[in-house]
Amino acid sequence: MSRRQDRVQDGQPVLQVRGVRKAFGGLQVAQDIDLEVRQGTVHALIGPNGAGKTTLLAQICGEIIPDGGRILLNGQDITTLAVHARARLGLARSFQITSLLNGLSVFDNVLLAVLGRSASPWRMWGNVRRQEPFASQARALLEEAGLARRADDDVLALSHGEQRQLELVLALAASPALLLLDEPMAGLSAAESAEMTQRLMQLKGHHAMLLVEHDMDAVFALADTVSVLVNGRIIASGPPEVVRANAEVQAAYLGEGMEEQPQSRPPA
Amino acid sequence: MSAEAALIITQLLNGVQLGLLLFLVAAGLTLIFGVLDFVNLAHGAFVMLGAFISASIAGMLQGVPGGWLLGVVLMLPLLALLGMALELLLARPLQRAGLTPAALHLAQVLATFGVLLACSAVAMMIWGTQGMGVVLPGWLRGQVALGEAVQLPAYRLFIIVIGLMVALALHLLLQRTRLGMQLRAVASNADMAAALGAPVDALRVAVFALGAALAGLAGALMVPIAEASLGMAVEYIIIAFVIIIIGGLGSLKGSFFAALLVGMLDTLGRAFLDDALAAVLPLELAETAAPALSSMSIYLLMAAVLIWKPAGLFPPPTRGRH
Repeated sequence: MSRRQDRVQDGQPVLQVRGVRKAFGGLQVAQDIDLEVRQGTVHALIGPNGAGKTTLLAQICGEIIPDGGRILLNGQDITTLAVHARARLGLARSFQITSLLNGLSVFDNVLLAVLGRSASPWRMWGNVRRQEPFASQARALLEEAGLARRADDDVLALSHGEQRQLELVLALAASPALLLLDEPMAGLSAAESAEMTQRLMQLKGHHAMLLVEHDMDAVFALADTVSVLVNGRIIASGPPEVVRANAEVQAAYLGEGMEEQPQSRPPA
Repeated sequence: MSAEAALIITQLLNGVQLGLLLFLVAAGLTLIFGVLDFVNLAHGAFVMLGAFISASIAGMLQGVPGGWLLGVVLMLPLLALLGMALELLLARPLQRAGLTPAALHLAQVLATFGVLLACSAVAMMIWGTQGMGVVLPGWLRGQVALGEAVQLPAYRLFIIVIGLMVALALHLLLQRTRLGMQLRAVASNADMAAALGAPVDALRVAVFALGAALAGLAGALMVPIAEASLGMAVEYIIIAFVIIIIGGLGSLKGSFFAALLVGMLDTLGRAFLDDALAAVLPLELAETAAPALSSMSIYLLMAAVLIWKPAGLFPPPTRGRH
């Protein structure tokens, strides 16, 4: 715990969300949200269903444009940039539901992710699967994730565990500055969830991460900072122990039994 | 070689030629539907405009060597611009209107049918109701001898060559190039493709430009056989939809084989159906039934394929949208 505490103030801020507001009709889904993710740290965003976590992620990755406020990535204002432009600046996300490019091979999925950030699509000549350094990078990433032998299979042929693994490979392919993780533990068994936590532990320090997760074991194992979002407002933010002890948080979200899982998990 | 065999070979080649021409019409339609999930009835108007514009340019360049070919080539960028305009002015605002998928498809059908009617009206104002022909260059006017007994008009051979080249080029584009890989990614899951850095908006514009240019090419190549006419717009949108439904909506490979099948069936039906029917029916009945049956044949084929394979011959993999 103390080792992690030391690192909290280490890095430069990678993501800065400043005073972001968003309303759908009369419904305020984001009210003056301030949030920061520093280099090499994990910032967890928790809150009850419908609190506005997914809407906030959508604003950070560009699917929804805020009504007011600013979003900065490595100091650059990205508030109104398109999704793919943000991806090219180093923002990667994993989706709440497993999201892969069905109908394309495992290798093509990874190759696209490698190409995505740096390469212009308008190069017409030459077999894209032999263009270096992209092809070698894609092969190396698959090797690293233990998926090399599935390279030519359609992604639909993979098991659920393999698909989630591949999804993480895609998110990491462009060595992103910031990784947005939208419920990476969703639908995983207890054992798979522990494995995923381990893998994210290894990645910690290399990438700044914003983690939305209901699995409190994972949140408290990984996070350097925890923010609690309720009704579109951040009601508490700070080191996990402090947030855990906050009376307002306990009343609003965590309930009486802190150790209880807000979301039940399927058996292994 | 017997005369019968020569006739059959000639008709088979005619079927291939018609099939490849129909493939050029269907390819753009299935590309726009497959990659962008957009139902584009205005595609028929692009076929007609490609025919009229190329014929007009060729008419202005009469006497200039290569004038006809120049008309076809100069028409292509104009049609690509029209395709881009359709994406930016119509497809994109509809996409962003926040409609449900079913309502969005209906809106696309209604809006692009409006564009088809408007294009027909404008074409009638510019070119009138008369058909418009072109003069082919000498090297395309003769006959080419294939073996002893089979002779094929050089122009039909030219269409076969162009059709196969376009099919190969599209296949390589989609399967081998960077652009093609990103297009397939958008077809599979546009949100995910954008998150991985594919410039989805620019790709949408490019697909519309390519689809419109392909339709224009098909229209231009039809002019020496059938003249440019207002009726092309409606005639070819229907047959193109039959083809992409048979082939599997959104599948380029499917539309290639379905177009060949339709072209072959149509040609052979017209050539041989009356004789075939006469063998089993009284002569008089056979002669009335044959033309009716052969004009229905492609719809019967579509019905049969849909009963056998409801998603078409080569359905593309399921979309992974969420």
